[in-house]
Amino acid sequence: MTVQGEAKAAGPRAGRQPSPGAPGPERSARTSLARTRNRAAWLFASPALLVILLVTVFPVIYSVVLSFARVSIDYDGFQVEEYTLSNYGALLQSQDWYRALGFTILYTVVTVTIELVLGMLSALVLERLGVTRGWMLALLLIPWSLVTIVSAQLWKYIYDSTYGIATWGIALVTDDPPVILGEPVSAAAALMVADIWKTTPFVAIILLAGLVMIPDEQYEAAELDGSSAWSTFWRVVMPQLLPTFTIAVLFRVLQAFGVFDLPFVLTQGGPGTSTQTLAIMGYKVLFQDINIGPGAAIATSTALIVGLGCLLFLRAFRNQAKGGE
Amino acid sequence: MQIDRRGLLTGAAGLAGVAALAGCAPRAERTKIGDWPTEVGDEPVTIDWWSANIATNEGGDLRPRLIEEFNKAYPSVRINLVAAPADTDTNRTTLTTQIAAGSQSPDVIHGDIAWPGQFAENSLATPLSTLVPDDFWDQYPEGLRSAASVDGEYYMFPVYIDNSFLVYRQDLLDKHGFQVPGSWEEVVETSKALIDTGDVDYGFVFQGNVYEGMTCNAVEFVADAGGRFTDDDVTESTATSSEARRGLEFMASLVSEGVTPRASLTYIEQASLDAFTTGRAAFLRNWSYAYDTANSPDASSVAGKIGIRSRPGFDGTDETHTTIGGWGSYVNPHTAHPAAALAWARWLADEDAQQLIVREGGVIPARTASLTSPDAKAAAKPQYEIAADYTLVPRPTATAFYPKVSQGIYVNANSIAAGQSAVETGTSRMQRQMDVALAGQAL
Amino acid sequence: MARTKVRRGWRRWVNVVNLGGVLIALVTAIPLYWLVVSSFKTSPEVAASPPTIVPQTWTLENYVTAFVSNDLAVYMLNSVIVAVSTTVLVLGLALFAGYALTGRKLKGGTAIMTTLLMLSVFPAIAVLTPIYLIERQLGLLNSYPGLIIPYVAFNLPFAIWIMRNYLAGIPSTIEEASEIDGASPLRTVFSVILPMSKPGLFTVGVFTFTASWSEFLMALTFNSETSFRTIPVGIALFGTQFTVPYGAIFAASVSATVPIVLLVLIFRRSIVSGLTSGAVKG
Repeated sequence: MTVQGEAKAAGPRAGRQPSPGAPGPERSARTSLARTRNRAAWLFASPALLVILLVTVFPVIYSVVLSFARVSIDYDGFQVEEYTLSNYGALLQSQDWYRALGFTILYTVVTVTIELVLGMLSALVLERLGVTRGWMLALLLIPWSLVTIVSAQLWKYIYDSTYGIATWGIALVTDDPPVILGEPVSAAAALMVADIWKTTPFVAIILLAGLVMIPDEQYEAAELDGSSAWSTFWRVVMPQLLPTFTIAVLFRVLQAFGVFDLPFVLTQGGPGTSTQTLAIMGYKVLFQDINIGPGAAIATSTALIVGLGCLLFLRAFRNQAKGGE
Repeated sequence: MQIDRRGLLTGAAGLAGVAALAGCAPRAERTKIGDWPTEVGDEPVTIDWWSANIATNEGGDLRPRLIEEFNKAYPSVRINLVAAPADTDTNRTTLTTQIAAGSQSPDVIHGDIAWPGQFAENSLATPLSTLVPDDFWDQYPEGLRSAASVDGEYYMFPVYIDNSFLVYRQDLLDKHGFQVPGSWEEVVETSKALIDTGDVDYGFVFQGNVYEGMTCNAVEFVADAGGRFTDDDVTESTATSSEARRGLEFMASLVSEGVTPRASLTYIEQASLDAFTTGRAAFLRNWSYAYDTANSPDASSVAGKIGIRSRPGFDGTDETHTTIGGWGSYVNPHTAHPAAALAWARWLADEDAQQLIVREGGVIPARTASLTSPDAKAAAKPQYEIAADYTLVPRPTATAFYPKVSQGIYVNANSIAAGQSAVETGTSRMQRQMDVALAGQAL
Repeated sequence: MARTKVRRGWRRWVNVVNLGGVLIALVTAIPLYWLVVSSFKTSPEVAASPPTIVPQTWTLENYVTAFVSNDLAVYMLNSVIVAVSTTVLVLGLALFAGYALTGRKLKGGTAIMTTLLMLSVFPAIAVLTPIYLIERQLGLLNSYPGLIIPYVAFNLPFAIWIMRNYLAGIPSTIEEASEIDGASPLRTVFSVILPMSKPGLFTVGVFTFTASWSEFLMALTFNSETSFRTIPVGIALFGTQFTVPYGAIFAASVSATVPIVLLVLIFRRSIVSGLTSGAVKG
C-alpha cells in the first residue's frame, strides 16, 4: 500500500468538514488524539532525522562553503585563509577532472546497463527453477555480502600480470600474456567486470521478487493470445516490473556514481588517471595532496551532479508510482 | 504518563549525549617546539614506529636488530613496530591522513627522503634544527642535507640512502660468452641475444608503473642523457630539453624493441624483483636490497648466479647515475612522548645505528664516516664500492608540491614508454603539467 | 508458483533454464572458490604461474600470519564494536522514526520518505571533508564514536524506509485498540509495535551490520590509526613496503567474510524481503 493508497482509503473520513458551531466532545477528542499522535510522531522521528540532518545535510553545506575557500593546515588544525573562486577555476581547467567525470559517467552507464540485462536474465532463470531456487538464492547472496575490499583484492589477484589466473587463461588463447591492469582500456573493463560480478546478484534478487508477484493469469492470457516469449516479456512482464526496475536502477546508478573501494584497490585510478573516478580523485586531492579547497570543490560538484540525478529520477519515479497505482 | 514518556526520552538523549562526548575527551596539548624535552627519563614508555621493511644483507628484516641495539642505550623506551603499506604513495597518504588528523601515533615515522617539502608545508613533521646541536648535520653528504631540509630547517634524520643498481645473470653471460655490458647500448644488444637463446623471457626490467618509482627511473635515464627535469631552483620544468627527450626516448625504445616487456610498465619493486628471481629476466634495475634478496637461496632461484654493477651510461659517457633514494626518521609533531620519539629518531641516524647498518644491513648508511669506516671495508659489500663512484641525482623534491610534480613526470613517462604518446607530445604535456604543479595550481 | 514448465524426456534436464542456472552458479562460485582456496596455499604456490587449481600443499600459515603479524585481531575487534554499536543505535532510532512515518501521523511524511530514499545512496565523498574537519576539531578522529555517528546517519535512511514499509503493514486497528486502552504512544510502541516488528528489525539489523562491516572510505579516512582500523582498511592496506602477501590477505578476507556470509545466509529471507519491500510494497 502506498502512502497515497492509504490516503485514498482514509479519504471519506478525512474529507468530512466539521459541522458549524462549537465542536462537540467527540470531535475534540478525535482532534486532540490526532494532535497527540502528531506530537508523538515528531518526537519519535526527530532523533533519527536530527542525526541525519547533522551528519548528512549540514556537512554538505559546509562542503560548499569550503569549496570557495583557500584552506591551510597547521599544527593545530586547519585555517581558512581567504574566500576565492580559484578552486572552481582550477577544477574547470583540470583535464583530470573532466576525465574523471567522463569516466565515472561511462562506468555508471555501462555497469548498470549490463547488470540490469544480466540481472533480468538471471531473474527469469531463477523464477523458473523449482526446488533449486532456494540454493541458488543462497549462493547469489554470497557475492553481495562480500566486503567490497575483499572482492577487490580477489579480482586484483585474478588480474595480476604475473600470476593471475585471468592473465594465464587469456595467454593460453592469445599467446601473449596481457597486462590487464596496466592498459587503460583493459583496466577499465576489468574494473567493470569485477563490479558486475559482485552486484548482479543484488539486481537479480530485486527483479526476481518483482517477477514473482506477476499473477499467472496474465501469462496464461498472453499464451492464449498466441504471444511469443519475447513479446510476452515486453507486454506482460516489463510493465508490471517497472516500479521494481526503476528502484533498482535508481539505487544502482547512485551507488555506481560514488564508486571508490573497487578502483582504490584494483588500480588506484590508474594506469595514470585513466580509471580515476570522481570519488578517487576527490580522495587523492584531499588526502594525498592535502588540498582542502579544491577537494571540497570536487566533492561539491559531485554532490550537485548526484542531486540533479536524484531530482530527475524523483520526477520519473513519481510518474511511475502514479502510473503503477 | 506524560512524565513517563518525557523522562524516558530525556534519559535516552542523555545517554546518547554521554556516548558522543565519550569520544570528545580533550586532546592532549601538542608539545610546542620551544618546550621540546630532550632528556629521556627512566619511566618505561612505549612509542610507535611506523616503518616499512629495512633489509638485512640476507634479505631479512633489520628492524628488530635496530630496536635491540637501541634498547642497550635506552632501556626504558619500548619501540612498537607498525607496518607500513606496500605502495609508497598509499603509505604516504595513510600517514598524512593520520598526522593531519592530529593523531598522536605513530610517534616516529620512517619515511621517504622526498617528503620534507610536502610535510613542512602542511605541518606534518617536527622541525628538528633546534633539537640537536648545529654540527649534527655535518655527518651527512651535501645531497642528503639539502634533501632533508626545507629553507634551511631540517625535518628528517637521514637513516640510509638507497642507490639503484643493475643486477644481472652472471651465469648466462658466462654460458654464452658475453661480457658484462659497459653501456646501455651493450645492455640492449646482450639482452636481445639472450632472449634469442631462449634462456630468458625478458631482457631488462625496471619499475615502470604509474607511481613514484617510475619518476626515479625516468630521472636516471634523463641524467644518463645529460639532462634534468627542472632547473636548479625547482621552479620551472625542463622536460622538453633535448637531453630529457633523449633519455625518455631511450626508455621507450627499450619497450618497442622488445628488450623490456610491456609488463614492466606495471611493475613496482616487488614485481620486478620477482621477474628476476624466478629467472625470467636477465637484467634488473632495482634498489640495493634487490641484490641481497636475489642472492639469497631462500628467496631466489638464481642465488649465487648473479652479478651487480652500477647503472651504466650511454656509449661515450663516463659518469654513472643513480637517483637519491633515501629514507629517514620524521617526528610526529603531535607525539605524546616527545623526548623518547626524538631519542629514537636521532639514534637511528647516529653512529651506533649507522655502524649496525654497515655490518648487517642491506642498505647504504647515510652517515659518510660509516660508509668509509673499517666495518664497511670489512663487510665488503659490492654496493658500497659502487656507491663510491656514483653520481647522485636528486629528484625535484625541493618543492611543497612534489607529489603533483612527480605525478606529471610518472604519468607521462609511462605513457611515452608504453608508446601511447610520442616523445615530443609526451614531454610537452609533461612540462605543462609540471609547471602547473610547481605553481601550486595542480588539482 | 506454477511457472515451471513440465518437460519430457531429455529436455527435463537439458534445457535453457537449467543450463542458465548452471552457468549462473558457476560464474558466481568460481571466484569464490578461488578466494577460499588461495588462502590455504603456501606463499610460493600463491605466486605460481601457471596457477594450481587445487593446492599441492594445504597450509594454515596464512591464517597465522594474518592474525599474528598483521593485527587482524585488532581490526576484527574494532569492526565488531563499530558494527554492533551502529546496528543497535540504528535499530532503536529507525523503529521509532519508521513508526512515526506510518499512517498519516506526520504531515509531509511522503516528502520525508522520498528524501530519505535519495539520501540512502548519497556518495560519501561529498560529505567526507567536512565531517573529517569537524571531527578533527572535536577530537573524534581515530575513535569509535567518530565512525559510529556517521555510520548511523548513513544507515538510517534505508533503515527507516524498511521499518516504515514493514510497519505500515500492521493494521491501524491494533494501534487504535492500544490507544483506546489508554496507552501513551511510547507504550504502544514498546508493548504492541515492537513485538510485531521483529522480522523488520532483523532485516534492518542484517543490512546495517553488513554495511558497517564493509564500509571503507570513511573508515580509511577517519580511523587511519592502526589501533582503530576496521577490517576493510586493514585488508586494503595489508603488506609492507615491497611485498603484497596475497595468501595472508585472503586468509584475512576469508576470516572477515565468514561471519557476514553466515549472518546473511541465516537471515536470507529477511534480506530478500528487505531488498524488495521498497519496490513491492511501493
